[in-house]
Amino acid sequence: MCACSLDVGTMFLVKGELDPASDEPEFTVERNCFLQSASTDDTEATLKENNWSYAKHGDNFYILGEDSIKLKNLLTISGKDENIVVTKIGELRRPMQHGILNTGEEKLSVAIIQKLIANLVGSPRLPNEVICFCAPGDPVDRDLTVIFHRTMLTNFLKSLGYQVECIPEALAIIFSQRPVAEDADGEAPFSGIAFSFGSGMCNVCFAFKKMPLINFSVAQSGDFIDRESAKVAGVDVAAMTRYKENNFDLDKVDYSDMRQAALDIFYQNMIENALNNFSEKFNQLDNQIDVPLEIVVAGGTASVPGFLSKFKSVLSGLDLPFKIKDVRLADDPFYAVSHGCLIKAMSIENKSKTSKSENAAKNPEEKRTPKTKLI
Amino acid sequence: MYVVRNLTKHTIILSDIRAEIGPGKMLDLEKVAHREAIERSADLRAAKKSSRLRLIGNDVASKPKLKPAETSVINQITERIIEKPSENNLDEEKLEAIMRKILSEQIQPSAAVNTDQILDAVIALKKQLATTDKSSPDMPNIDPTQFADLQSKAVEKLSETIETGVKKTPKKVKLKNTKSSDLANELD
Repeated sequence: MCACSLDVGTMFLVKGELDPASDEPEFTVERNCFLQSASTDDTEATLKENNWSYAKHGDNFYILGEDSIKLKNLLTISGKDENIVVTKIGELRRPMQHGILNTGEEKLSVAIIQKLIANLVGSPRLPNEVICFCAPGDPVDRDLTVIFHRTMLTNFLKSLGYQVECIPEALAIIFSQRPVAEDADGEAPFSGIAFSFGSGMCNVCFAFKKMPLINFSVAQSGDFIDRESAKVAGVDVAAMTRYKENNFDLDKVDYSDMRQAALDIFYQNMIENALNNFSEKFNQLDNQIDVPLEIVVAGGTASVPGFLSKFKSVLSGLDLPFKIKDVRLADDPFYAVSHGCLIKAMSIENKSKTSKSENAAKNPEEKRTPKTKLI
Repeated sequence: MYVVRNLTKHTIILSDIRAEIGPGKMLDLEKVAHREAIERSADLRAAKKSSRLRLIGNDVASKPKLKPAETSVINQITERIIEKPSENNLDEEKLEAIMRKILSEQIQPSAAVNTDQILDAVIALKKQLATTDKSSPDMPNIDPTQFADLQSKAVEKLSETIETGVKKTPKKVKLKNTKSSDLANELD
């Protein structure tokens, strides 16, 4: 099977492909950010010596992906030392911090991110290899459009030689987790509600028998939690992010610790906001669906310990317009989106193979070796 | 005469009438601005309220008032331009050009135009311009997908000028028991 996937997230780029030996998916992860370095005579030599991934534009150098994060963390000093003169280092550039690429603002940043993507996905292994990537739903709380993001990535991946397919981010979770609903006809696979809690956005999709009926995003997600909790607790945002990723457990919140209390409140706020927005959209559906629905949650922000119980507890406190069959965390929350895209790419590849073989069966003459003409 | 004294040790600037009063100094504001502008000045009101400035003398205005007809010309100009600022997308240069044009058309050379009045009008217009929303310029009148196509071509062009140095492939993570092939077959 020759197909692959790409999850272009706010914080990470995740490529998925099928390992031919084990027939299981494997994923490669890269940070979706870069850092501008100083431009001196020996900058390039230093970058090469240290084996740091970089891009060069004119006289400027940009350290890419994971290396940029490592350098930024290494050089960021917390606290003040009056005996040392500190030179401020550059800001980490995250052109997708609002969840989508926006060419209007930062063309060079987008071009650099495209280089990162090109390094990650490489060239197609076969001509016209299928790649499926995901795009967020239109945000309900921001005046942003995802058209730029989708068109630009489609054009870029096509320019690398791929056959490109784009699906909604949360629909990818439906494809990878296969929630099932029971309707009058029996089992309806790929029917349920998916929440993808990423860094920049929370994407929500309600699909019935593979068909997305509701798809949207809200801007309150991981970055929102970090930013607002940091404000309340009076700490640096980066410090709050590190604390959240390494020490926080939603099942064991110590309310005497301001950081934990703030994180707990904003997690609750984020979940409530996503569910309320979904309820509003659900009420607007033409055909009311009254079968109990399975909810699957995924994404990096949902990976914090205790997230599922928090989600369930918020859910039980809300008056929702749909019945719930079950709530579960995706098997591998961080890879679920890329995995879903990979499944879609594989299914397109399957269809393409089937139609080729069907055509060959219909027109057997085409395949025959032409007879040698005897003169 | 409209004399005020600066009661502080710092220079006070009344930006809306363009007056500057040194520490402890007195100034007849009517020498720098028209009476009506002085009376409208928000900066002056604030300075008096906070006791930074004290009014020393407030006599009959020394400058002759404009004739009603002349005042109305200025008002007309102000009203005309203020009416629809966002549609015209005015900036200061355009504004100046419009002002010059209208003044040359409507004010007779012999008419004594009070410069303070014009200044007031310009200040009022500038305030109006400042409140005009410049953050959301009109979107081009083309299909968003076509516009995105154009943008992506611009990025592509820019991308050609970027060279990449050291390339690294991050580690791969393998998942087990995902039944990916079965799911893909079922999705067909």
